[in-house]
Amino acid sequence: MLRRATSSLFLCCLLALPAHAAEPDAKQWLERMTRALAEQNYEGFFFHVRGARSERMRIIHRVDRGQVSERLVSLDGSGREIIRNASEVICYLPDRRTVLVEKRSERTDATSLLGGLPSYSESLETLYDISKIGGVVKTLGRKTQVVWVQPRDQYRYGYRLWLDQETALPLKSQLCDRQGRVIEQILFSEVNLRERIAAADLKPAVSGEGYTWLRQTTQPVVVAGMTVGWSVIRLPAGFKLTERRVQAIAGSNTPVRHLVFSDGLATVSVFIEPRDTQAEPMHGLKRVGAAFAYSRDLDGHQVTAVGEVPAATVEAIAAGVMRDEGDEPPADSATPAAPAVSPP
Amino acid sequence: MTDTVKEQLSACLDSQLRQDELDLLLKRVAKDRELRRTLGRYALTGEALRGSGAVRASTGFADRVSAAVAAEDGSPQRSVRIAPSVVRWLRPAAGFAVAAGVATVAVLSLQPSAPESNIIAQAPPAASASNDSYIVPANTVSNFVPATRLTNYVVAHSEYSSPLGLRTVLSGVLSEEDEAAAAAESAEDVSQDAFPDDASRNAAGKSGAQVRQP
Repeated sequence: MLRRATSSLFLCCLLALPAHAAEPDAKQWLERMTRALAEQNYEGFFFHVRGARSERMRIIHRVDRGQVSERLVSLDGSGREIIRNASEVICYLPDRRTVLVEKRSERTDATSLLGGLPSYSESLETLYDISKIGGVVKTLGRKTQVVWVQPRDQYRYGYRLWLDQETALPLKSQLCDRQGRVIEQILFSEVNLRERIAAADLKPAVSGEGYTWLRQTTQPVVVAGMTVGWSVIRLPAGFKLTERRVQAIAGSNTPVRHLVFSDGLATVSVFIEPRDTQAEPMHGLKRVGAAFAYSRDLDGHQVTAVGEVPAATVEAIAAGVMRDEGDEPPADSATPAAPAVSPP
Repeated sequence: MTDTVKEQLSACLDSQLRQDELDLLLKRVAKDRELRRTLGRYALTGEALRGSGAVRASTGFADRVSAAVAAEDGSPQRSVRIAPSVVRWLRPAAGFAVAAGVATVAVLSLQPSAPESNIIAQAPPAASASNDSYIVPANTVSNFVPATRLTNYVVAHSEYSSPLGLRTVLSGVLSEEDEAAAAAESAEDVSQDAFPDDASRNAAGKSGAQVRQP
């Protein structure tokens, strides 16, 4: 069946640009890209490449009344699919007869495939240098403009983006370290713009009937006295505490404190839990997939910083964790606190 | 080659094949060289059809990526023009490693841990009877706990990590950690009636992972 792509939408985008505008600068290119990703329906095929690994996937990206929904289908024969909507991420794993459901906070757009690419803001510019590299280059058979979002210090990664001249969609995007070495990239082999995408196109190929459904809620656990008591000093420039909660995490037998720090683009989580004397302690730097983790022991607690950021960042943030002065150890949630023994 | 197989090939490239059909087809493809060639042609035709009026990279690009990936994997480069999806199927080992990694991570983060700990002895009878929901697993004395716990942290963090999408899920954070993967294998055989005798049970129960059969 021949599926027709429409070009009217991106024509509108082009017309919306002021006719007298000179060559758009890097900032305007980023803004165009952000707008395209937030407004454009598209479907296509891409490669997700990290190191020697490459995975080819199909994407269907639908924007309905400002809400982004996405369906990613793995083309490696496993039949795996990831469906994202406003409130959930659902992973279908037919090869394991399993479906995973994860609740999302409101940041759904940011967790779509390309929603986490840098969008322009003044604060972004204080931490990253945003520039165009050269003029129009032919990439993947299309005319593109390369935009480099380069970190100004060693605490974050940068992005190189090949933006389609007509649509501003990132046909190729690379996550790079400060030396410009590629850590990970997404390469589109095909993108079709669509005026409409039917809701049915976002349905998975399998129903999940008879599969094991695993649901993980991220609702915070409410335990008195546990949301305060810890902070991080000497944060790398630009990082701010954006969330603080206590949650149950598989593998930990007590609720875990979870602090989230962000510079507006990169995010680092800090997990704090009482040391389990039976578990082997975790120390130092570890690489887990594309993320770095740094663990240390502090005051009878296991402290771990995790993020897809340079090793220096998780190390610096873990090193800055401290227990607030005068903070009492939290009372065990199930047993009443022992009565204070007053000195004779 | 029968028309049914041709139809299946086509459906498979459009990701419209049921899992059991796909399994069968992949087995056939693995055995049949002619089928592999056809699959390559179908993939290219499909892309050409879809390309009508679309923003579209040159087909040569897909080939170059496949070749580069093949080269990095140490397998000889193919001179035949063949769609990347096919190349992946012809090398199931690489593809499966990634796939297995993904499932491993996710399952590991939600399944209860090792059964042979003392937890079962303390499990209340009511809990063993109920199989449709369980509490987030307690820690155990498993040797693999550090790697497992780190992975669980990464999964908990993935809600916030997004620069290139759900990267950790896409690429499988565990595939590089054999030890942890081994732990996952053992964790999967676990019966789900373990009930942590733990002070935080109530707190954890409100927000814990649940298994539900639809």
